[in-house]
Amino acid sequence: MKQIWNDIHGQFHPFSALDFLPREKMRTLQSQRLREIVALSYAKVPLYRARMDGLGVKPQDIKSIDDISKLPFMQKTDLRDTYPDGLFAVEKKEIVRLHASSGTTGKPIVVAYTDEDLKIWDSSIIRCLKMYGVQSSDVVQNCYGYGLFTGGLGLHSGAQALGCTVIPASGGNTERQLMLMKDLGTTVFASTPSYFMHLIEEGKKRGIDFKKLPLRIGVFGGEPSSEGMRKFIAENTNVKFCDIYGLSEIVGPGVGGECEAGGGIHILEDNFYPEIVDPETGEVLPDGQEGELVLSTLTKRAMPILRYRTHDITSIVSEPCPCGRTMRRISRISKRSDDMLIIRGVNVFPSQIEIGIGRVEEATPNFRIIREMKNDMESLTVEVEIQDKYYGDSIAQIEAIRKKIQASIMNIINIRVEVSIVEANAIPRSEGKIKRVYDNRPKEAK
Amino acid sequence: MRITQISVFLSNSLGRLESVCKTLADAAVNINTITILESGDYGIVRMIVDKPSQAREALQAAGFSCKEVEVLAVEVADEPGALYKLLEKTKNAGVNLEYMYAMTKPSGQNPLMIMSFKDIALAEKILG
Repeated sequence: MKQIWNDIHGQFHPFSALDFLPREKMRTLQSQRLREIVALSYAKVPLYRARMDGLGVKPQDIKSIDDISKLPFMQKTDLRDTYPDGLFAVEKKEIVRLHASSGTTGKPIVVAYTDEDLKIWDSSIIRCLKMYGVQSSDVVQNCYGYGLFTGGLGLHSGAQALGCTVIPASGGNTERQLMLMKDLGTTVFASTPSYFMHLIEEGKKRGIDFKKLPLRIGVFGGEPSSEGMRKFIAENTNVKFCDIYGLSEIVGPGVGGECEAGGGIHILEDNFYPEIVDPETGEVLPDGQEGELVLSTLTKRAMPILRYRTHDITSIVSEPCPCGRTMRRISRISKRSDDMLIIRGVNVFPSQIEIGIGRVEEATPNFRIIREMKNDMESLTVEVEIQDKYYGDSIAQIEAIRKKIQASIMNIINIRVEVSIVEANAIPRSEGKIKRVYDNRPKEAK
Repeated sequence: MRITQISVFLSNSLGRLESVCKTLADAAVNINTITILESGDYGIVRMIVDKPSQAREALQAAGFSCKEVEVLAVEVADEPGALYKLLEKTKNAGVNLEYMYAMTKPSGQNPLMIMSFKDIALAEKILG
């Protein structure tokens, strides 16, 4: 493809054509693909057959994409329970790659790809990279972990297929990351946003000004991003913040990406069909309403995943996007239904606390939440680092900032939390997904 | 006399002050006097040292949040009413004292009071 399409100065890639498919054509394509994937799943995967039979749904009942709501949901536990290959829909000889989750909680989740699946994955990543404006002349430093995790190899393969120079830096080793970035002229950096922030801070200590580097695009994913993170990165670098959305259960990175217009994440819905459901009842919600994102793979054959509950809370934006792409967008994901904390009966998301902190200009985005028991009552302490210039000589000034942060958080979550100002660099920095909540309650209280 | 104080923000946890002192020891900085203001989870350490800018650089390189702050060092006679007379002057001039602590002068008999004022220039003029 590269031979006939030199994209060095081009805005589009041939694969991007599907991004602009008229809605009716997209629906026709989705309907056709859904029929095929449901037929395959029903024929080859015992779990699908049993579940569909249980609901009295046959493959021939699925005629158009709207019939998707007749299908049963899938949960993460289904992938664990069928470990290692219970959801494979093709013969072993057709499978060319396996990936797995880290498996920190019980058995890992194994995901499989045929050669064609990998090509679709590459094309999905290329379509995302083109949304961000990545060109084949770019040098991509890929800090997603290589190995079993889908992030590293997935993004690597897509960026390479686009013709970029890819540096397989993988995660960790701050010193080396900074060296590679400077010496090899990295223009596109791919990592979690929190790890990039960590590198900016470490670079500062070594006198590296990120604004003077040729870095121009950040492909950020793997964890929810916040306004605070975006602001920090915008203030300290010339990097355009580009969200890449994905999850290993569906394919890995490349399920969707943020276009130039920046109003949300376009889901590549010819491959990955999005629905929003009520997290409690499972009822499908109309576009625009907030709920849990449910995704179905329409093209992946090795391991089709239908109506997967992502636990990501968002809404579908169906208004046309100024960029011209017809694929619907989801709003930026900042909440997960499974990281909700219930504090004295009130639902609290870490992202709400982050928003509260972000509204106080003296504060930094570096914070963590500590849950503990005090006098038999559950208490929540938010530890925050403030901007260096405000670590002054006056307790009164620091107390004023502390109260300001406390009031700003309370303004959003409506309950009082303890706020504690901590030293600069006291909050552990992440080299992968950021950990916001530390649960120090005794076992019996959890 | 105007001198430079080093102020360090510290979390109230085991070993933090020790770590500050070790950093200064390694940088061969001598602490003339030190006082800690404690506020629950954190505290502010204020110090007069022999080499303030080296002290600040060493502490910042070690990751501490610290500042150089200008304060007045005023010699106060070791006798009844000496501090009162001094504070009466500042009060009459409307200059409010933020905080104060004492330091023994290595050579002389009289203690030095380390005093912080918002308007340090005016305070310096009044106290000579």
